[in-house]
Amino acid sequence: MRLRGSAVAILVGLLLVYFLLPLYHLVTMSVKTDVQTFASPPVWIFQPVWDHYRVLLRGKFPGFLANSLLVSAGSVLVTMALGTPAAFTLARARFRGRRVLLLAILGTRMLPPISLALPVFLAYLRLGLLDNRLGLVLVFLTFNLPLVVWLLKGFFDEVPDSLLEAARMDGCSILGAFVRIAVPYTSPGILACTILAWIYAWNEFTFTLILARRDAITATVALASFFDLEKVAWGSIAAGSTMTMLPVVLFSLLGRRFLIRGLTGGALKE
Amino acid sequence: MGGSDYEFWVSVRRSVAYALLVTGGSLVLGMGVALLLHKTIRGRAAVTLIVIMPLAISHAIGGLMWKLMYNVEFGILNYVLESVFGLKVNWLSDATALYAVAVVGIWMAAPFVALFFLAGLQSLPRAPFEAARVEGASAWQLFRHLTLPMLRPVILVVTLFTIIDALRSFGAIYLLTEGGPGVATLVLPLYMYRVGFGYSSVLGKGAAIAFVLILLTMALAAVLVRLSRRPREA
Repeated sequence: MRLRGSAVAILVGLLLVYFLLPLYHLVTMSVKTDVQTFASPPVWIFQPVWDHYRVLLRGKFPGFLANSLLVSAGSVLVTMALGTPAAFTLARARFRGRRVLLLAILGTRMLPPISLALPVFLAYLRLGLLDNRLGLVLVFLTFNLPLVVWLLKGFFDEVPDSLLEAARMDGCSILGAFVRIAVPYTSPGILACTILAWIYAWNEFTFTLILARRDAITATVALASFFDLEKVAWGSIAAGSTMTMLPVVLFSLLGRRFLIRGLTGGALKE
Repeated sequence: MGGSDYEFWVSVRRSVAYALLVTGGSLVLGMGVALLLHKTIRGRAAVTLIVIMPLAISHAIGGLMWKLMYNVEFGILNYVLESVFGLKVNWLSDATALYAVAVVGIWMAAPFVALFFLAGLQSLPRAPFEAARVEGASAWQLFRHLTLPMLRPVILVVTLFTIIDALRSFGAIYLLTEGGPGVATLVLPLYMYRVGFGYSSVLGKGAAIAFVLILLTMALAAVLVRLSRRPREA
């Protein structure tokens, strides 16, 4: 038993190293001087310096972060506004082809973004939506809307029929029952979906790389372009990445219970 | 225009290899993590928290992190190798790049797999396990003859999900290698990007590759839908 205990401890240790070391490497690098970064053996104990952050924050990077914020907030807003009533309808209304529609929605979630990017690129070229934040907001719906509809449908399925019927008896319209009963009842699910959709939008890379050129570039894509410089600025890359992922990591730690439910609950059903 | 396209078939092979490596690796690792977390080990909350971390991180930034890890000069991996064996490896070179990229793919996919398996494990009935334990079954026998068969539906669904997701992986590989060196990690999405949006952009050919990728994904998705519906209707 003693042996098994230590074997488990070693396994857990290895797992933690595998999952955490890249994170540690990146974050520490962002607060090291370039000399410390390239030192061999690596410097383990050092005074953190914020130079890389200072340089980034004085440059264009805040603009890229603002783009990330605007685009992700905008797309989540539209996603939830369209997705919540859609999910409620799919959960409650009985109509022909409902099942096929549900599966089609699930199917679009699995489409490779890179495959959709080409037709969207051509359409945006005509519409003048290339390198445009609104264009990104709209295209992010392709992955977030199906996800939210699918997950929220699962949450709306759990609203007891008796509650909705009682509301109708009391003279609520369908819209009233949706707004006053169904939405409050599923608010944890709606919150989970909002966070999840926001994370996916904030982290998006493929569409933005292809559809944004200069003005609409978000933080994730800006980071990739740092490699195009003649001398790779590792410190800036590390600091920029840390700043970009910090809000997501914080949010997912705070909402991890909701997130785990949102991630596993919805997809395992049906 | 020739009748066949060498790079296309290379990229199909790369995609299949990448998807198999990532799926196989993350299923095994994910199952391990789920089993560890299922048995109430100490600090379980902390472990869950850490394990789900890669889920929250953008694939592009995940790729970036590992690009730092793999760096020949200052990467941690080479530092460890050098101090233990006295050698340095160019992880993202022709011979090892696909495996190196797959390790990153596993890093991103395994937490998701683990979460699903954990949910599956927690929904299993207790009674058969207790009965078998009374009969003197070993931990391995329990796993092999009870856990695995009972989790079969979950495992199938998760496997297909992971394959579909691996087939469309783009961000991390783009940052790590851009499909290179040469064609070493040129999976279909990267090939599509090179053809459709590279220096000499051929939109028609890019669209064809994009369509092949969609067909492949949709075929797998159709199987997935069938599989996940069966237990419910039975």
